[in-house]
Amino acid sequence: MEHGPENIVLMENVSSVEHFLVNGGKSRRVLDDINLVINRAEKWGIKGTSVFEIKLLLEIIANIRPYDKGKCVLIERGMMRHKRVILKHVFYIGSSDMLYNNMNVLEYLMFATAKSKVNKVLLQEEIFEYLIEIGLGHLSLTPNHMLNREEKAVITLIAAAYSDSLIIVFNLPEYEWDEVLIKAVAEIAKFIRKQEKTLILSTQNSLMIEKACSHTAIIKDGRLIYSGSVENLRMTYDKIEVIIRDRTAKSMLEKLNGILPGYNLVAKEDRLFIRSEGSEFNEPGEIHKKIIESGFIPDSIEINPKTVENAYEELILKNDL
Amino acid sequence: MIYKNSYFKKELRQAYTENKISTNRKIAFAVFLGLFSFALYFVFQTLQESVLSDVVPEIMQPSFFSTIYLYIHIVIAFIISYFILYYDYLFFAEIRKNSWYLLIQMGYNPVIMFFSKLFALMYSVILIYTVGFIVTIILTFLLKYTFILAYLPTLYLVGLADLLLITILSMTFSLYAKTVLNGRYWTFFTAVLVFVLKTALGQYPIISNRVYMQNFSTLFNLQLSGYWLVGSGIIITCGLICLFRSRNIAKYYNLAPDPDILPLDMELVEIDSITGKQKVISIKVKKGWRGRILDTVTTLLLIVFICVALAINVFIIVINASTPGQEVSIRGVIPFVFSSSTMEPEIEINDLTYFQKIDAQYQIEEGQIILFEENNLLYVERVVSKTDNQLIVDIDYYPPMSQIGAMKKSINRQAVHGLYSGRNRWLGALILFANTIVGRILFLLVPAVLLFYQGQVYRYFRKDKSI
Repeated sequence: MEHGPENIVLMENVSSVEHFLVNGGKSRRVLDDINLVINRAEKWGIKGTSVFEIKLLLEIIANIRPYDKGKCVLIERGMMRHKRVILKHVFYIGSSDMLYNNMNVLEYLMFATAKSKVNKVLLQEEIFEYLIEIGLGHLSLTPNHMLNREEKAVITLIAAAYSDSLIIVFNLPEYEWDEVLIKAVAEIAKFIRKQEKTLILSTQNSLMIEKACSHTAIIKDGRLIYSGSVENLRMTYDKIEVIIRDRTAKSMLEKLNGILPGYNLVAKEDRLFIRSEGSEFNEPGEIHKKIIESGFIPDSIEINPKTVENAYEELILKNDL
Repeated sequence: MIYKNSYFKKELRQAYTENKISTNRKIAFAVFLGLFSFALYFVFQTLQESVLSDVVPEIMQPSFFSTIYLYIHIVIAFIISYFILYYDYLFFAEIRKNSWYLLIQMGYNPVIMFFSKLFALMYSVILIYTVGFIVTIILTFLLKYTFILAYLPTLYLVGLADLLLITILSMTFSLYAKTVLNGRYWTFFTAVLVFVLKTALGQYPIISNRVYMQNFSTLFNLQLSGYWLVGSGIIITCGLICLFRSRNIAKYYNLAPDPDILPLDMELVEIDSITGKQKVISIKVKKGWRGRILDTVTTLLLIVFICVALAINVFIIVINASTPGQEVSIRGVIPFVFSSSTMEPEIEINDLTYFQKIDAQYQIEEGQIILFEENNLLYVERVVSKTDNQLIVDIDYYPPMSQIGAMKKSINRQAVHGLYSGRNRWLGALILFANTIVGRILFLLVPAVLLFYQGQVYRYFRKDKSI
C-alpha cells in the first residue's frame, strides 16, 4: 500500500457555528475551542455528555457541516470551501438508511463492492467468511429490511471498510449496541486499521470504545476534556483498585474505612469499590492483605480491570467540580 | 449462488425477490390490469341505459375501442398506485437516504446510475402497460366485436405517452420531495396534473373520437391539440432536470434533521459572528403531530366513505320501497326511477325523477307530466287534455314505425299521485349501478366489512405511518 500522510485530522481551536439557546435566553457554542489530532491507522472513539455535541463534531470532521472559527485539516489537504461536498477520502456513515431493502446482507455487500477488480467468486467467499469471522454469519442471508438499525449500521461499516476512503467516520452516537455488534465493530476496526485506514466513531457506549478503539476523545459541555489513548484514560482516571462482592458490603464499609485510610470506599448494592486517592498502597495485593488481616472474608474480591466507563465517570466528575 | 447484481438489475426489483420473480409479478400485475379493465367494461355495460352513454360514449360502445380506451385510463390509476406503493424503490428517495452516497464512495458513477434508474423504470412501465394492453385485446376477442386494427396503435401510443409523462414527472418531483410521504403526494399530483393538461389542451375530444384515432398522424396535429408538443417538451425538460439535479444532490451528504438528539429545553441557533443575529435552526418539537393528522384524515375518510355508502343504500331502499298507493315522499317530493324511454327527451331512461305530491284539489294543467296509478302500476305520462274528472294522457316518444297516439288513454283524476318537477340523470345512474352486483358489493359489503374490521384497518394505517 502506498504511504500516505500520517496526519489524518488536525483541528485547531475549532468552534461550531451552532449555539445552544437555553430556554430562549443564554447561549453557548455547541462546540468550542476543539483541538484534536488524529493520525493514520488509529481507531478513535468519541464520547461525551451530549449526543448532539459529539455528532456535530464528527460532522465537522467529515466536512458535512461548516465550522465558525479555527482550523480543520483533513489528510493534510485542508477543507474544501464548499461544505457538505462528498470527499473521496472520507466515508461518512450518519444513518443506517443507506442499504437497499430489496437485497440480503451478502448480496448488498457484493453489490456495494462490485466495482472492485477482485474476482466475484473469490470476493463473495471472502466477504462471507469475513461475516462469519466477525460473528455476523447468521445475518449473511437475512434481507436488509429485517435488520435492526444497529445491524444495518454495522453492515454499512463493512462496506466502508472495503472502500478506498482513508477515513471512515461512523457517527451514530444515539444507537444502542449489544455485545455481538460491539465485537463485530471491534473486528471491523481491526480490519480497517490493517489497511492503514483511520476509523473515527462516536458512541455513548464505553464498552464499544474499550473493545474497538485505540484512542478516545471526551467532550463535555462543548469542550474537549480528554484526548489520547484509551489505555491512558483507563489507567489515569479509573481509580478503582479493588471490587469486593459481599451481601454485607454496606456494613463492611465503615469498618474498612479505618483499615484503609488512603482509599475512598463506595458501596453500591452488594459491591464495595475501593478507590485509590493518591495512597502509598496502590497495589491491589496490599489491599487484599489488609482486608484478610482485619478478619473479613468477603464472598469475592477482584482486581478492577480498569474500564473506560469508570474512567469516563471519574473524568466527568472531576470536570464538574 | 454468486451475486452479480448491476445497478440496472437492482432497479428492476421492487421488493426482496429474485429478478425473475419480480418480472413475473409485473406480468401478473399487467394481466390483472387487463382483466380488471375488462370487468369494469362489463360493469359499465350494465349502465348502458343511463346518462353515461351520453357523457362518455367512448367507453360504452360494443367495440374494441371502448375496452382499450377504458384500459389506457385504468392503467394510469393503477400505475400511480404502484408508484406510490413502491416509491422508495422506484424514485430518487434513495439519494435523500444517502444510498447513492455510499455507492459513489464505492466507485459507482452517478450519471450511469441515473440512466439505469430511468431506463429500468421506463422498462417496467412499458412491460406492464404492453402486456395489459395485449391481454385486454385478447379478452375483447371473446366478445366477438368487429376488430378494427387502425385505432389500436394510436390508442397504444396515447396510453404510453401519458404513462411516460407521469413517470418522468414523478421522477422529477421525487428529486425535490424531502420526505417519502411528500414524494407520494407529489406522485399522486402528477396524475392530476396530466389530467388537467389533457383537458386544457383539448386532448380528450381527440382520443375519444374513434374516427380521429384511426389516423395515427391526428395525434400530432397541432391545430387540434398542442398536448403532444407540450408533453414532449415536459419529458425532455424533466429528463434534463433529473439528470443534472440527481448528479448535483448526489454530490452532497444529506443530513436528516433529528430533533430527538437535541437536549431538552434547548433551541439550536446559528449566530452570525459579525452582526450577532440569531437564526433558529432546530427546536425539540413535540413528536407525532404529523402522525396524528394522518390518523385523523384516514379515520375521517373511512367514516365519510362508510356514511356515504350507507346513505346511498338507505336512499335506494326508500326508492325501491315505493309501491302504488304507498309512494315514499321526502318533504312532499316522490323520488321515482323512470325505467322507460317513453318520455324522451324530457325524461330519459333510468333518470331519477322527482314528483311533487299533490292532493285531489290541485289544478292539473295540460302539458304537465304526471305520475299516476293504473292497475296497481305506476305510470309517467303527459297530460294532453282534460275534462271534469278525467285526464287524457299520452307518452312523448313513439318508436319509429309505430302509430303516433296509440298509447293515448283516459285516466281518473284520483289516480294522479304527483306532478313532475325535475330529474337527476347522475343519481339515476348511481341507483342503477348500486342495483348491480358490483354496486351492491361496493356500497353494502365493503362498508359492512370496513365497519367490522375498522380496528384492524385503523391499526394498519398506524403501522404504515410509522414506517
